[in-house]
Amino acid sequence: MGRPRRILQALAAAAGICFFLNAQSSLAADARKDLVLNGDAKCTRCHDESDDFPVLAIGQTRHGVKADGRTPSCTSCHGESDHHVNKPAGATERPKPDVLFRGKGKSHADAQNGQCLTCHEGGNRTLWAGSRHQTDGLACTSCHAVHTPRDKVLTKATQPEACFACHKAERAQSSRISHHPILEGKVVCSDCHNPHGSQGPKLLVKATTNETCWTCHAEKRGPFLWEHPSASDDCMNCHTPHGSTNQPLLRARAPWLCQECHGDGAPHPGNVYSAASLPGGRVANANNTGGVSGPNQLGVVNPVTGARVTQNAPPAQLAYRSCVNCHSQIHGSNHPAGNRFLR
Amino acid sequence: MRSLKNRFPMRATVLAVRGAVAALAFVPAAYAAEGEDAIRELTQPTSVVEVGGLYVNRDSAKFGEYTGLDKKGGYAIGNVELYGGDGPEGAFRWKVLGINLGLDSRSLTGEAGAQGRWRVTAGYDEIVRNFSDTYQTFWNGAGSSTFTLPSGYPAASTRLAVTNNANAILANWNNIQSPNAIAGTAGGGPAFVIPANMHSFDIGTERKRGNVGVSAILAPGWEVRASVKHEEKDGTKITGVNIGRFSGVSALLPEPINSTTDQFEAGVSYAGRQAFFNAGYYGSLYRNDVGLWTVENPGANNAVLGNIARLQSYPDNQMHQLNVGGGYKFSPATRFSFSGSWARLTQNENFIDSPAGSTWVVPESSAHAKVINSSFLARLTSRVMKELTLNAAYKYDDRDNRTPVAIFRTTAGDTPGASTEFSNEPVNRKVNQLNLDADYSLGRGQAVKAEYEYQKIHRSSTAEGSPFRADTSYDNTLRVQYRRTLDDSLTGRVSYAHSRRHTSEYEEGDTRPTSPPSPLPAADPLLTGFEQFFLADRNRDKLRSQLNFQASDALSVQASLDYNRDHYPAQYGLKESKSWVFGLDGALVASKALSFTLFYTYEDMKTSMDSLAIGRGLTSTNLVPHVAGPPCAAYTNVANTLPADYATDSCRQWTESQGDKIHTLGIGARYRGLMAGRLELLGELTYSRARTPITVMGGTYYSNGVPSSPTGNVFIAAESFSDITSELTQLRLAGVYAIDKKSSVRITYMYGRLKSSDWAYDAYAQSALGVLAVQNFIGPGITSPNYNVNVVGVSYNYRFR
Repeated sequence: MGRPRRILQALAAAAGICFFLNAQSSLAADARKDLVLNGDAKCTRCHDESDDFPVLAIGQTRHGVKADGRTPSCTSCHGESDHHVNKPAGATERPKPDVLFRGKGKSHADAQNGQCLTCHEGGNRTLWAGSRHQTDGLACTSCHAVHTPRDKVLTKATQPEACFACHKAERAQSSRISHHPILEGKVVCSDCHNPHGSQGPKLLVKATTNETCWTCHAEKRGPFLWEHPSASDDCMNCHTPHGSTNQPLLRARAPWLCQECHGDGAPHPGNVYSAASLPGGRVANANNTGGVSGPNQLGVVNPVTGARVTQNAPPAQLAYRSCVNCHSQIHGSNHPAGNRFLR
Repeated sequence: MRSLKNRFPMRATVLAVRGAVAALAFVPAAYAAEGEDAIRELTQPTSVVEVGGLYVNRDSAKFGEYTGLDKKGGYAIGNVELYGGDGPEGAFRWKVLGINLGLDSRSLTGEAGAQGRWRVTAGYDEIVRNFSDTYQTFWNGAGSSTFTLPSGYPAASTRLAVTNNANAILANWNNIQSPNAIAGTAGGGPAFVIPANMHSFDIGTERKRGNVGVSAILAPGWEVRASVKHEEKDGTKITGVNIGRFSGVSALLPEPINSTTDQFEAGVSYAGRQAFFNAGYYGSLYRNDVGLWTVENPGANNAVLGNIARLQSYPDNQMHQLNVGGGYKFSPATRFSFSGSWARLTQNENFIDSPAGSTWVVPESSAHAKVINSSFLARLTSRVMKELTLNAAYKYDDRDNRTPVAIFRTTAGDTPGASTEFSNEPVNRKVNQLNLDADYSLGRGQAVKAEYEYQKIHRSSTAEGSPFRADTSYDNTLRVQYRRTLDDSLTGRVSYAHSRRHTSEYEEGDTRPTSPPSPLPAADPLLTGFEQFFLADRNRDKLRSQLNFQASDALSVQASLDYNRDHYPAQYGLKESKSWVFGLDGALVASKALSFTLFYTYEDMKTSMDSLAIGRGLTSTNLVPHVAGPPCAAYTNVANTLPADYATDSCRQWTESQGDKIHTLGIGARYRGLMAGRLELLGELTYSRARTPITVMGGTYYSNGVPSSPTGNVFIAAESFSDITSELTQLRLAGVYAIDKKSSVRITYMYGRLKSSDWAYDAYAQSALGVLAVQNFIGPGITSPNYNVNVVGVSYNYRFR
């Protein structure tokens, strides 16, 4: 609401109050018709359809269903706000409502949240107290918009916009070449996270990271005969969920990601994989005898490339899926011969 | 005051998603209602139907990866948002929301209920994943579970392994390059050119989900709910297939997918003035209709048993979980809350039969796999005084793997010959965690918070041997945060956390292990001083900072800077992982009609590791004394001979570091009020540029193919890779013209461009040997994704009540 308009309204309200007092017509206000909620007349006489802030749209929301006995009135959330309704004599500015959810002078987050929790205790909010968002001082209205028919955070297509307002890195990650379909509206933040507090890490909806991932990736749940210990331990040992430059959502590029655990072994896990090993690189060219190992160095030439047939093949560990080109059952295997995850 | 939250949609790829939702937000200024009409418009929901069409001018699996806009051609736009019910005085309401109904990414949800008494919900959703449109294979049967060699491919009996003559070298079928080389060559070649016989196959999956749910309020505070979700997943995904272990052939093939997942939930909850409680059941049943799938061996005859590689897709499995949670308010300032779950995970899929002619010994018909997951969290919070709030929480997680341990004798990669003995190692994980934090208000908009976390993770196995080289880790974290609000226009926060993880004694690797007698597998030499990152000691630092500035009702700016660093003190393994992220957001409301949004994020990440390439072979014989240190001298390459100092030779040391340097920029603009309020214009641009440099230093020795020479092993220095890059541009322009109060027309244009370069694809697909760039690996020919796609769309929008 613009300031001039607000001043005019305040003056008009003050004049109106004087008029009503003088005329002993205080019943007139009570006679005003409620527009949406029971008893909202004392608010909507000012906050009407011409108000810049569309409070009346609450009628389109669950909070506007009067037939539900639990439906609040304006004062259920904002407090009786007597001084706001009846500006004290001598006050230069109309006092704010008892509980204000937005704008200058808004109430402390705990005070705001207390109003909401009056009805919304329990359920998904069982663990709100002491959760990361609560202890960081977030209010319900930091994410929710109560007076609008389409609360962004409750609509799948728009929910990430609300979360990305604070979670900038995740917003950027969701634009990377490998990403969950977050921006496409097919996976939303609340599929994995419960922002109201949870038993799991990072406010995940389930008690552990893996249980959360399995809600969509149940095939990787096993339990498998042959377990990959790092996968059973925590999916995030290898993956990053919001987006990555490494397919498929790997937090680092293989084979080095694998070598963070398997970089110490022989014959091949601990090899050094560098650009010298790419096709046509120095490693292949070092073996230009064109023959197999043994006494016979045959100098056989590949007629397609003209190069001698080499024993130093470019390693498949650098191509495409790297180690997973062969160890494809990397989340676990139930094949009797799957102990190396080749099956 | 405008909020910074109404920021940047950044969903330019999702034309249709924006459809109904965006259209609903648009009320033409020219038709703004007044008086009673305005009240009705504000208080009663508006239904919207949007129909139209899109045209995509080019095929691109990557562009349409999740949207279904992957093929050139026309698509239908269909979006609905419908409301109905009793009206303002009644409690019965229903609504239907349909998004992208004309695409393979469609979604339709609905709900109906008498608020305060009962509610029924239902939904249907499709998710496509178009993986690649450049994939190629030369096997027949893509899309099925049986992959056969093409007609004309040489019979297995002609595919002999290497012998020492020139033609046989080219006909060495485990050197898969040779069939390419041998075409038309006299002397026993197959005259079959693999690259010429590759054919394309679109790889992708489609998930179709349906769900139904019901909830009812039985009495004040008491609610029961139940839901069922069914998902079918079909299609193919790329899976690596090894045929004949490391001396055989490998390929990437489209594994068939045909599975269903059913999820069930039921629960009851109570919320009263002082106490709240919930209890429920969650079940998840996964069933895979693809069991065994087979691939005919293209390599040397009998490299695998019967020349058929046999693979098993994911096994059927089940999870059943009981959940409880609740809380009690001792006073308005003090409350206790808790949550717990107990889950039983089972998997009992029958093992595939041992291949004919094998020497396998499989002692059980199935794994009888069972895991019990228990988890519990208890938390006490109290505002002990007006300025001070204390929280204490204890968390317990236990993964108890009760899968029986058995000994299996098999061969890897379906190879023939003597089998090797392995036993499974079911792994357990137990977490104990304690959190304490205190939040103190300093007054005048300032607050500080201090947190302490103790976490102990114990990992073990019920088998005789454990795969974990350190069984227990202890992590202590201290975090402090400062928040300040300088009047209502400026707020900020900064936090710093430091944690130290130390582990119980780490079992060092043995560089010269003694192999046990057959049939036990040969021992793997391991590098002393190497520690696996998730078990290793670690020091972690995290910094978070954010500043919000509401300069005026029209202008707001938000800036953030995050820093993370993990340091691992072990000699070898992951050494460091660090990143910093800078973010800047702005919103400007230039006028009632014109507004702009902007964001920019820069991320700089780097991980680095150290290692040393050891070998497997004899260490006692060193025909030519090896000289360590630069210049790294060559040494004799007698079969399996290694220098005595190979585990400490500095010439075998290598380091690798990889980074990500990523800029992401978004700009949005909205203009309302053109043509007397009838026309609204929207524009969004997203640009992301990622660069991944990978640096490798050090090196090691490679054979020069002349093993009898005193310099049969030559040192080759490592080389760094060319940067992997991707550059994504998405532009979306839209105009909405209001024909009248109820209807409007929307015209949308979108441009998507991806330019990427990745040697992991291109160095193999585009080398001289193409898909056969690696001797024993038949590549899929996939190139790094690039696209340049234009989309135009027109839709008609009708609003009604």
